[in-house]
Amino acid sequence: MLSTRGTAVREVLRGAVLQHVVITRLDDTSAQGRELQLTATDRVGVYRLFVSYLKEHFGDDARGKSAAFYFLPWHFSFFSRYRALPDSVYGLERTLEHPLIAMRADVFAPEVRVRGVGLDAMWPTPTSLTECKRRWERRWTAFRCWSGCCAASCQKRTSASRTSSGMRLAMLRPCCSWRCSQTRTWWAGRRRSRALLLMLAQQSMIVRRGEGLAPALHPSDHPSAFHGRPWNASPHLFRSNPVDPSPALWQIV
Amino acid sequence: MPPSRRMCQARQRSAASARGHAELSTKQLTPAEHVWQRNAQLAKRLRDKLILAPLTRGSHPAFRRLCTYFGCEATMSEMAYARMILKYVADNRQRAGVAGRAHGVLQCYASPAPALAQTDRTPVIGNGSFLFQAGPQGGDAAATLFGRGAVRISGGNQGDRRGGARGAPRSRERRELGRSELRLPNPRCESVLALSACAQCTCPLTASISEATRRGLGAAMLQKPAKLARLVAGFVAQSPLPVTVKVRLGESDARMNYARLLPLLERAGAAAVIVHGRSADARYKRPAKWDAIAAIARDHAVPVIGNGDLLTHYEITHHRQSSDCLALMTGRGALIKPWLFQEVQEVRRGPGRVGGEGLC
Repeated sequence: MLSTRGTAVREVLRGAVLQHVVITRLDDTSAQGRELQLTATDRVGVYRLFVSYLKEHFGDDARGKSAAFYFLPWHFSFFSRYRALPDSVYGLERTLEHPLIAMRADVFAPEVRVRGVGLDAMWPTPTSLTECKRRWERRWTAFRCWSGCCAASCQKRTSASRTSSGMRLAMLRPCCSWRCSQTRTWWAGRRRSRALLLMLAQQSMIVRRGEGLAPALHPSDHPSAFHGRPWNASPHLFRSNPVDPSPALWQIV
Repeated sequence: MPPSRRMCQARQRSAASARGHAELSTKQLTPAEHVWQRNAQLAKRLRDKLILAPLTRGSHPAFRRLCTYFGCEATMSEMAYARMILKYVADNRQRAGVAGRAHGVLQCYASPAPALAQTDRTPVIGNGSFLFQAGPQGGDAAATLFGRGAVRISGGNQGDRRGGARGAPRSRERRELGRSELRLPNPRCESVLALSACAQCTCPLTASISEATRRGLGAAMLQKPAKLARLVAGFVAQSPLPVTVKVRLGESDARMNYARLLPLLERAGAAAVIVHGRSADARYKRPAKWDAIAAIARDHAVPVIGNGDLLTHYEITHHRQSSDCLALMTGRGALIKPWLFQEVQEVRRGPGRVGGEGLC
């Protein structure tokens, strides 16, 4: 667990936090010669690491974002192709029979073939974050990661600027790591209004727990009402579909 | 042959020799002694590595750094069109007095992150990759890039990492070049400059493939092995670093000309040949022919780096053992799972902390 105060945070933020994935995996000494089967949450951690590198390289401003978004959704189209192909289950012989990378998901694991997660991308779980097949889903995931992750070398972790409505900007865009204590403290001490939670869930790496699908939609908010394009959806979508803000249902990944 | 046609050919030949590109001869393709030495050093360094392929869109520094974090030991920069670099140099020379801005193509090369070099644990071999056009422009490009200092590379063997790429150009050169200094991906760029003759390396975008091949770049060069070998020879002569070449097996499955191409590249002084085991037409629809790669590695003295359809650690182990390849290279495998490098390292060294905060 991270030290939560003092300059130590700055020092270890980039190292310890971002090495989370690797360290937890390698604690297992039987990992030799075995495929690292990262869970969806682990893979989201890899995305975070990647986005933090992108921010550091291109800059954490509008210009850097526009430059990085040439790459980021494109990368998600590759990341989402990942399927575990462990040696014990699939093995070398079967892999050499079907060596084409593009066909492996279909040949080896047709049951987990994903056509896209649809509206689940709006209230995602870690799984649906990593299975963004469609173009707009990848873009949503990219936006979410960009606004929810900080640069690897970020020193200024919160900003005190306020929006016109009086809401702290830093709350909507946590400028710190997903394990950062400040995000957690703020999240714990906040009166969780539904609107706030929705805004936060749209723009941060706070996702729903579990692997299930999105909550059932009101008939008038069926995707056909906005032609399957969530960015055309009206705010009515959020009003008529109550989301339970209970912390048992949400987590920071 | 009718006399008119013969005359026409003779005229073309004399025009070619007037441009300094005569027929292919052994003398032309014989590199100097120091070339062999530096090639041997490079082969020693690259042995048994898993290399991140040059990706037209994916090889930006952030992704290279991600792969490096997971233990990748050798990376390649984005493919850059030499034509654009030369245009950049020429443009800036023209407006030498005017405050020039970096060209869009080159902005991807300005890679800051000097602070991270201090925490580096894994030595990473960084490579630049360029896409050259064969013929007079290609040779000219090599001369311009290296001879006039448009590209500055500080190799690790020169012992001075701070000079060269990172340092500002001297005043005389600055006057000469205007603001045309080009920085390679980072000052730690090690020892190889890859000349990529495989336009479709790992780029599934049709647009960029035709962008290269319709100009006679990339896989289109496979049609003319002698021309490609001349280009490589000229490039080796000008380059301060070893030169590797990335090729596919041939234009199409019917015309696999690697048997003719490989000896020429070997004589031209290529430090290693990266063989993507498909034909250019096959794109990614047909599996890579690893038996052909193994045959090439067995039959030729030049080190071969195998490439194609590497997604899991057991495939990589298998191909490493079953072929005599110097090293292997993966592109889409790394794009899908960047932690592939860590899996491979674990197979080789056993579990442990293999990643590093290296740069690439």
